[in-house]
Amino acid sequence: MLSITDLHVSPEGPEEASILKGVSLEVKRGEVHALMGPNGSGKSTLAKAVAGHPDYHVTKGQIDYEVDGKKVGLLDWEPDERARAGIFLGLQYPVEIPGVSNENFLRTAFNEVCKAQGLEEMDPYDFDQYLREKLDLLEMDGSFLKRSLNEGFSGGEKKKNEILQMAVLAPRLAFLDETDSGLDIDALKIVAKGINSLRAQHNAIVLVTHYQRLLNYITPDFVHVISDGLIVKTGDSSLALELESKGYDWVVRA
Amino acid sequence: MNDGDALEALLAPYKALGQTGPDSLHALRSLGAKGFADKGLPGRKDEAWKYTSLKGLTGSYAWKSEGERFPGTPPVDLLDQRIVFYNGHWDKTLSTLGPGYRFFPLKEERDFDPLTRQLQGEDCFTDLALTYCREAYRLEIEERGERPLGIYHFMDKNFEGTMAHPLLIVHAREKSKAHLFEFTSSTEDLGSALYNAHTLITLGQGAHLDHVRIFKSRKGLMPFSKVLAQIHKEARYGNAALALGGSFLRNDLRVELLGEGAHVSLGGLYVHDTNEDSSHVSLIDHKAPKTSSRQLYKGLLNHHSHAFFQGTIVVGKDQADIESSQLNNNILLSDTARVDSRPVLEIGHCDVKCTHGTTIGQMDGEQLFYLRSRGFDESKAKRFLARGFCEETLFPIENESLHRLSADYLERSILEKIGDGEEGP
Repeated sequence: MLSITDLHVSPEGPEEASILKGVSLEVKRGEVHALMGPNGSGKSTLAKAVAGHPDYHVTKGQIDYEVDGKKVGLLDWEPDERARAGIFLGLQYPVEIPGVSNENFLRTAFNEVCKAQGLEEMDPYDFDQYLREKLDLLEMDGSFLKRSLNEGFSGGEKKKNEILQMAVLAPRLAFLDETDSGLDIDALKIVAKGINSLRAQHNAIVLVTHYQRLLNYITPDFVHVISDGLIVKTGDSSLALELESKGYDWVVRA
Repeated sequence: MNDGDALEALLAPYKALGQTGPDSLHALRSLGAKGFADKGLPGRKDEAWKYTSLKGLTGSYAWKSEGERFPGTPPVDLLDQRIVFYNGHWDKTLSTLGPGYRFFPLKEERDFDPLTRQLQGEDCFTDLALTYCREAYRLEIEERGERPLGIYHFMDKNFEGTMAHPLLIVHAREKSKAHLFEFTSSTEDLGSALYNAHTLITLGQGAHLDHVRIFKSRKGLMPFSKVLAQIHKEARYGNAALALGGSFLRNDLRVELLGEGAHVSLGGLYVHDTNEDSSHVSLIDHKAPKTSSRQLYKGLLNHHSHAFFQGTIVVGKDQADIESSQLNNNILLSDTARVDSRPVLEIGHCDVKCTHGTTIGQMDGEQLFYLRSRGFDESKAKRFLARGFCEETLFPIENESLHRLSADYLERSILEKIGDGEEGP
């Protein structure tokens, strides 16, 4: 579903030093991948490059994405086109948007994705029902919907709100960037439960994380270690445990 | 036409008029004409007018002492309770008022005396309004109402080449409550026309007034709008002025807080596209201790457009325990848009919490990316952000239906100015 080949990414412009220096990664439908690595290794850069963040310039390599049985190159696609084709990025630091209600935002985003995928928009009553189910899944209160998007939300609330958006939009491919950071243990369990419930044969999830603790609750099929812009090791879920006990130095120096 | 000629031309219809009406009205007019001639039009050296271009003011305007009925269909849906002005005159047939209000034109000798006292010492446009003071009306708010009252100022092609100086006096009794929706609009492009409106507001003890003023005119009309408000003990005044279109607007507010517990909230918004320009000048005078004020002015400027904001806060030396804040935030959507912002603070007492700030920037790239990463195309994402940014300026309006009504107008303007015609947020 996603195949990244020899990806080089630099911030701002081609003259800047690359953060990613030749990453290749294959993600198939139904899989959960964990992308781990020390701070500054390029984990978030990879996630943002896939989502099409305008500040991250791909200087070499390609990102291919399979949509409706066809393989397409993503690099020319705008971020909103990627989103409407089913790619989702859960942000490490979700942005506050005053004056835009969470409910209005969710409904608009949902309808945009539906329209693009040839589905009918949901009428407001049905959407409300649909939204309530997703809120319950994440043990979120209905009052969240009336508030301005992320404005004044605690760190944990913002992260839950990201997973709520994922639940509503039902993406084909989700990159979740440090979704576990800033969560206390109870919130972590709820968020993990939410993510697990969204795991399905028709979609794929890539968890970008610094720590192993999220992986206590979500068992990935593959664990990749990224260091200095390259994937240096790939293994199964036991690799995460090994990293936890031995530290990143063990892989990076090997 | 130079300033001297413009001055002469602006006074010409008055000179041709001779003495009509009660003596006190005549005295008021003479005083206005003299003040206007003495002061002259403001020049570039006057800081409060430096960024307001008066070059569209041609000077030769006809003045009609009698009004006509509005011949067309109002350009917007009218509220059930309303006062309608057509080309500067009260249109009685279109106006309808519910219980709790009294509205009447000023006619009596005694009506005009207090005006002289209240309006002396203002700028030359107030003098000009006094010079042509026949179009003076009084609105009495007697009870506590929840339904908004509309005040509409409509101008059409019959207003071409003319001027009007409507003067409205709003008096809210002690503990009364009302919500005013004021809408100023010209339905057609005009060559040149001057609409110089004044509103004098007095809020009695404990009264509460929400007041929205929307300006949406076509080319050629020069609307000047000045609100002079006196807020007594424990009274609250909320005013939100939205400049949503037009080649010119001058929006002046002067608020005096006269008793303990008096509060004023001012919101101001200018959403401009090519060749649109507006000036927003506020002065809040804390004339009693334990009074508070809050101001939030925002601008969203696209293409070649301009706006000016000047906010003055005055705290006298005997006034303790004052809280006052002022903020002006601007988003420039193009390289050719321009804003001039000028805070002025005159603080005479040390027991004062007073803050001010101005920002000028662009739309936030991370906010835009966030919305786009959820499937919003670029123009829809911009509209959502614009609407969220602008709607905060309605904060002074507590009445829900007035708030919603104003937000609808705001949303439509954003669609027109930075949208692509699609359904809005």
